[in-house]
Amino acid sequence: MKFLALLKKEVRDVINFQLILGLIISVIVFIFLGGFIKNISDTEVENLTNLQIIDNDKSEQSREIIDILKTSGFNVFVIENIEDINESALIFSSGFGKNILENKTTDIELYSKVSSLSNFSSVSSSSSTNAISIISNFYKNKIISQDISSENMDFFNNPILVKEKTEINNKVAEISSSTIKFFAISQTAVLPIIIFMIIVIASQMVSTAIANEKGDKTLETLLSTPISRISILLAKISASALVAIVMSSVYVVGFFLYMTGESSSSMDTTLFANLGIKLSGFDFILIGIQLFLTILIALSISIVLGAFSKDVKSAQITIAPLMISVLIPYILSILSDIQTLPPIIRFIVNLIPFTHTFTAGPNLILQNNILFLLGIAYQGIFLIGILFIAIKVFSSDSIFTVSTKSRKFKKNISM
Amino acid sequence: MSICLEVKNLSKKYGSTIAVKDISFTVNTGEIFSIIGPNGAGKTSTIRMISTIITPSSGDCFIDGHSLVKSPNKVRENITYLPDEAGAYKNMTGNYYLKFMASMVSSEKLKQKEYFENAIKICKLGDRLKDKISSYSRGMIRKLLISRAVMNKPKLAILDEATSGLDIINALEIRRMIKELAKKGTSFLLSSHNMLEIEYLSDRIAIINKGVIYEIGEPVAIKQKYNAQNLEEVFEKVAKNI
Repeated sequence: MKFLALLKKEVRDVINFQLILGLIISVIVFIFLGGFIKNISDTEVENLTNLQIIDNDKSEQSREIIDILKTSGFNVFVIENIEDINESALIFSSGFGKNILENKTTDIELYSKVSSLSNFSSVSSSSSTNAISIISNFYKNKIISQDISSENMDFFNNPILVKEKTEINNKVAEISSSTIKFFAISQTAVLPIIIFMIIVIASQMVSTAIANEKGDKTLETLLSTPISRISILLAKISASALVAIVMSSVYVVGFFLYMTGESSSSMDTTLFANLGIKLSGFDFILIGIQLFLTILIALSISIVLGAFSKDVKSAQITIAPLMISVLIPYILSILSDIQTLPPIIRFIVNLIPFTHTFTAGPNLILQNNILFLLGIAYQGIFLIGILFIAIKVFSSDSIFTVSTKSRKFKKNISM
Repeated sequence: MSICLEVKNLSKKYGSTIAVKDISFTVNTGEIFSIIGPNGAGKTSTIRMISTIITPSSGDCFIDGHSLVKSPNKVRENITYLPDEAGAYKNMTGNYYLKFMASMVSSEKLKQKEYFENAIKICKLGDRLKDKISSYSRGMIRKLLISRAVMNKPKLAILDEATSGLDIINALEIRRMIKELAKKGTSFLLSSHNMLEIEYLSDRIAIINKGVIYEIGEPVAIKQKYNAQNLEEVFEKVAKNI
């Protein structure tokens, strides 16, 4: 019985307002993200059956192949120009039919355009790869039905030779899109993890420090000294800015070292540099600036949220909105290209200042410079706004009269 | 005797709750004035308003002639405030904390040095000031904080529950410290639940309940008025009449 009483007490301690709110928020986030991802997946699965073809041969053989692909379930769209390609297309060059008739290995060009570096975006280009496999098997089966001879053995082994060309940043190279994406993603893949970690660590650090100051009443003491409240706030923000500078510098240097290691791998980085998909020194500086702004925003929000915390325990739940606003763009940036989301959702996600940090790397690689600069400008405006709110909070009574207690939100009136 | 603090019709509302209702009183130079009352009576709200931590809903108070509403920074130059159960920055040493707080009070190096040396004398913590505050006992922290509160000989020192949680010896030392400093001209505004302490320390007291001051006067006179042995009995009788 004593154990049960103890257990009951412990459960009451653990199941508190924070836990329940945290669980509710988690469910909402999962539903929200689930909806997003389903939307993205449905679109990509649809793309998996869409196939663009440029038929420069216009022979009986090329038309036969198009018919076979249609009967295999592809929605074939025959286009005339490379400019009309959405993501990838198969190009039958002139002489395709002639080579087939002569049992000679023939070329099919796989032309890809890279406009997004998200994981899901690579799904759509695989429709072309699947189509090539079907074409290849078609000819192999055809030869088997005709008897394989020494003359057609080479053709049987390699009926189709795929020549890959990839366009990125309006430049074309004879390289597969997957290789380009692998290199580009390798440059930015670590960045979201770094950003997420910095924001979480820095925010918890600052909000806990503020909550401690409130709990110990050292803040109350400080506010009664002949120093303006704005000076006290500015000192806190300046200290946070210093931390932000140190943290962003350390992480950018670390990221640079990671990239140096990555670049020293077997990949031909000159080719990637020529294509403009290799981050330059200037890009690293830009990423550093954006990281600095991001950390400053996160720290300023934490200062405001921390000011409403009664104690360290409640500080953890008070920064939950901040964590969610980091988590949503973090996950979305990994799974999808945020700029291709439905307009309303894209607008909402772009309102989150951290979204622009997560999209910074891909934007720089894909030379979406306007988007990158707009992101920085928005973050600057957001920072000014949050600093204004912080000044208001520190200049008013609310810092002492409104607080989140560990069990419930309540107006804290100590008379 | 000159007036150090003049409180005029001070009120504080939190939404629809009235925490302090139209209170007025004065504190003379070198006087120890205490506000007593039960929990939720309005003591802390009154003290927080006078300490410029929160703003009054109406009314004003004047410290050395400076209006709390119009020039809170001037008021801050003339007061120090020690909240109830306050702590100090645990990662600092006692010395560092006192130097830091001296630099908050004055930007002149000479004055900072003077305040720091005053605090060292008052707190009597000796070599322990070289240690981190995290290693201090509750009594040591309270001594450190009180020495901080009076290091610059403010016109008014506001102490909320100055000796709460302290053992008999530490509490006695702090009471003596307050008495000595008052003799040297510092005025004190105290708040406490401890009626015996208040009776021992205070030149005058104000009894507050539900945000209203019911009685102001010297402890002896108030005891006589209510025909009571001590302030606890006075408080009981006042509370029954409310």
